[in-house]
Amino acid sequence: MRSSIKAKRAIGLTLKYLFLVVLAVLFLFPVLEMIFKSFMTDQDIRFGLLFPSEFTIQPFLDALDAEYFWWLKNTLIIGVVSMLGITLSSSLCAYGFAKLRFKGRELCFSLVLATLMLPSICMQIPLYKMYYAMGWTNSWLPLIVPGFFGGGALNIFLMRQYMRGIPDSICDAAKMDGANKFVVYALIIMPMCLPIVGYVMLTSFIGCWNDFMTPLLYINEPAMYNLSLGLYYRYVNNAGSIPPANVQMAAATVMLIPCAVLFFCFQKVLINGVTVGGVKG
Amino acid sequence: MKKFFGILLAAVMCLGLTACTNPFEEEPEEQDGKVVIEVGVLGSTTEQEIFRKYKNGFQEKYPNVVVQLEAIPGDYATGMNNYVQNSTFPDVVFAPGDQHAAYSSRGHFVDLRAYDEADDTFSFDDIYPELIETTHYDSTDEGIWFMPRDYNKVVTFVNKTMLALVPGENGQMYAGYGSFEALKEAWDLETFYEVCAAVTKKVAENAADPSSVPQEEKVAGLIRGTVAVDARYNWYPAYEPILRHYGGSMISLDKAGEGEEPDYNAMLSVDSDETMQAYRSFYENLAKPGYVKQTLASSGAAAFPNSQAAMWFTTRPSWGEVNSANATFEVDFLPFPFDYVGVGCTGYAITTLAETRVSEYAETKEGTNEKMTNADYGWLFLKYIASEDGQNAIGETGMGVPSLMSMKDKGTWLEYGSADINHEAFVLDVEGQQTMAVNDIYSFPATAQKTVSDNCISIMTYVVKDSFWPADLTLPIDRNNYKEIYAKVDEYKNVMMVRINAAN
Amino acid sequence: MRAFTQNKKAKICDWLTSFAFILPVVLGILIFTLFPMVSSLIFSFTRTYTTVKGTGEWVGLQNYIDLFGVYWPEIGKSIGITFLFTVISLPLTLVLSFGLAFLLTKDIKGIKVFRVIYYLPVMIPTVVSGILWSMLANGSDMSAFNMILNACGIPSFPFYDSESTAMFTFIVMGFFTIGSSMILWIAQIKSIPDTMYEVADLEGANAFVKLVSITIPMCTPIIFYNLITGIINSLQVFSNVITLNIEPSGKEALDFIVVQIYDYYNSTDLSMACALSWILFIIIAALSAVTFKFNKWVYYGEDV
Repeated sequence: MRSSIKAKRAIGLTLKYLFLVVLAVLFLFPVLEMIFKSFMTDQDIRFGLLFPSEFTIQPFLDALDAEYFWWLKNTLIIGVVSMLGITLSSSLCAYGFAKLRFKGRELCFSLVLATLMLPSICMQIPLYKMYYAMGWTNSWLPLIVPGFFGGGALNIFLMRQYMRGIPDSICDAAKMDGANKFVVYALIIMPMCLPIVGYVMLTSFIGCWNDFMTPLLYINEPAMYNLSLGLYYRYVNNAGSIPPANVQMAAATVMLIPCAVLFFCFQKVLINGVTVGGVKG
Repeated sequence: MKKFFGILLAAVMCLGLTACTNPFEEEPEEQDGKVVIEVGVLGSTTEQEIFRKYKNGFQEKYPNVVVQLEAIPGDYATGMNNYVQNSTFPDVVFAPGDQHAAYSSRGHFVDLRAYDEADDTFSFDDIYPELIETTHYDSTDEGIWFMPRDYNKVVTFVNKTMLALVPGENGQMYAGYGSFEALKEAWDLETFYEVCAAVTKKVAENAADPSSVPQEEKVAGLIRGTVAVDARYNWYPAYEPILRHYGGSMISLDKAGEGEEPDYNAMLSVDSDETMQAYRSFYENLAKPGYVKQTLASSGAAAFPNSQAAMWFTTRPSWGEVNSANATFEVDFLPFPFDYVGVGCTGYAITTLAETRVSEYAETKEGTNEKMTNADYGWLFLKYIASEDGQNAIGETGMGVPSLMSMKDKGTWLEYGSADINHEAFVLDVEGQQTMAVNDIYSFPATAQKTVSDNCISIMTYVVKDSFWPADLTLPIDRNNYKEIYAKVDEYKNVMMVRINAAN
Repeated sequence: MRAFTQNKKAKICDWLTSFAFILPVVLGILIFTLFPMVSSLIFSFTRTYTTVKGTGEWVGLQNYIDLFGVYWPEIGKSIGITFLFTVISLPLTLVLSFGLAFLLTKDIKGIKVFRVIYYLPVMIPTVVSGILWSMLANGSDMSAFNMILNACGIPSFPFYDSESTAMFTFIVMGFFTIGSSMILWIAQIKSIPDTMYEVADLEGANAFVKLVSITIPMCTPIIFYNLITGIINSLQVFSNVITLNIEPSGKEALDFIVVQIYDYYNSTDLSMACALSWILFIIIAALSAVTFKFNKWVYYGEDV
């Protein structure tokens, strides 16, 4: 009797694993295929092989030219600067919304949440005119500066939720000791918020790395492209001939590496970040 | 540990990247005391190579002028609209014959006739008249808005290496003709269809039994998925002549009527019975499985340069694409096999903004004390392009057939690749073949032209599909027998008419 | 009296220092959101074509009349396409990501590895995924999916290269990124107290009853959140479409509203683009409002 239950359980577990593995193969397929294609010879591509008959690194040599590294460098600079801006600005605002009591706070907060619902495309044309008037088009300022002003409603929201979980008594104790608001923010709250700060930093860097629409609208000089835009103009919207699939995939693989590494190293932070405070309220 | 690796990776990347130099910075050039004019050139490598040839030749001739390359971002339309929105046009800008209307009709370019009249050393009469026709923006316009730099006739590119492995009915290679020379001698529409049938048959045989295909044939591309001809039937210069050959036409200027306002509805003859008949002939003759394939294959690169098609209807500049794809086969050329053939060109235009720009180092115009504007210098550059020197400069790259009639049988373009190649195909007047300019689309209002062109292409991609045709194609053409295809075409025509009417 | 003013002063001072913390976001909303929104509304009543300078001539409602009049065949089609996508993709994404999360909350060895694998496709940059999917899922016999289908003896499928199958392909490809909503589900399911299940066990509830009467009701906040963000995001599909390198007939089936707006923008018809984006905004606002209105089914727990 007992053994039959055990056997049933074992079968159930095996089936479960089998199902999970099949799904995993399915989810990995695009990424694996991308990596395989990037090691193929032109001929393998032509034959439509799924797995290279011989490995070659020629596609990487073709794809990773000086322009590619230049764009990579641009992307890194933009990513790091806006990551810092977004984190700083959103944590300041979140602190204001979570821990300070003042008139108009709730109104401002609902205003912030309301911006989540506005389609970004609505604002693009006036923003373009504005940036143009300020001489910002064809520079990275439109990609970086807005991050310093709030850093996105979702980030503020997540941080606020996390900060609300910190007991007020800790802040009050510090205030008793004569610390002002900024000191409380910088020396008490921020160190306690490291998990969510890490989450915001990571997601904003990855978001910036992958950003395509903003540079597409505001940047048109090849020397200023980020990697997304560079690849787009090279492999999708190209006036000349588009390089073969293996070269495209090599370029794409290299672009994926930093995000994949970050993801594997910090997946705990990423996955836990969203659990913080949940999305209630 | 993992975190450590992550941070290490990031640090190494940052360090490595700060060391790299800007590849977009042009090599510093002595510009002191010289007039600098900016030229907008398409981003493709072949275009930029051509431009560098012009630049070197031109600067040798005019040592006090520097022509500076400015890459147009993205495809032509994207890049130009960028210029329009920011009013940042360079002094001279690349202008393809089939895409300039949207800008020339809105006053962004300078009419070159004024420069021509003021200049005794140049005449537009030396250039093929078909090309001059494409420099106007609509059928009533007489302005010459850009300088044609090459003569782009649609021809048939042939993959000789592949055809050398394709037997005909009689067992001989080259689809039964034995050699390329013999094929060239016999070349006409019948021969073209014979080659199509032979290639399709061979590919089908190899696909059915892939394990016994000799390596040589595999490498040549005679494998599953390869088609006989990459007919580019999503491209006006290719599909419109074919439709005319079969008696139809998407745009019929002769139906415009007499009135002040052209009868656009009749002119856009995509749904006329003759055109429907032509779609049917196109479908019956060319849309057979294995015969044609349109370019813009999703895999990115075109079929022919990757040995996925035995023939290709396209123009001379595509040769560069074949070369840059590291093609491992021999290319040769034959004329377009249909009764009509499209001719177009690309070139350079002077922008109106250039007329407002005057360099501090500019010389004064002869006989006056007015300084030369950048537009005047742009004209010198354009004139150089249309001179024998300029034409030879582009000829060296292999990408251009001269736009000067006098250079039909001379110049460097005949030596590119190998002198044995059938270069003649590019300028040959085939008996019974009618040359047509490819700018009929200009007869529509400028703001509607893109919609018309896009939707005509869409129609072409539908008329090759089986599902829209009745099983019995011998039925006479009328709206009852061919309901589905008529409905589809009507759908597209409506969209086009909406745009045309809105533009009026 | 003096004490009072001092008190007041201190209050104002306190307010100012507090407000300073949220000043960036307030300024940000004013400069980068509110001002552009209002200007785009104004632009939509003018005709602006060529340059970024000036506002153009005032034409009243003409742009909107054109959009609902002469341009309706195109615009209506785009709106239809966008709604079709939203209506099919959103519920399926919700159900599938919940199913996936449900599988992954079980305590089996190595579950974390699977979680990472399922989340991985979310990390693929937009441009890369455009290039990748148009390569894997095009209609040619040589595309990866067709190679597999053919190997199984199934004839080639057109995928992205046909108007009739492009939308289907696009929706299915979208499922590869359900990892992002899956993570939210996992977080929520894990936060359900075990005691609730224990009580249910005592009452003899089977797995299905537990799912329907505990797990799902406790997850309603996430359903609501996913619903709202799903509506907003899927009505704004853009980057995933324009980075696809596919045949024109396939692109036609993926002519989403924002793609249309971008086309207007790119053909320098700026006021039309503004008008259309305001129509989109109104649609999004209306749908979100309706969803908010009927959120009685959402269980917020004890602390609201």
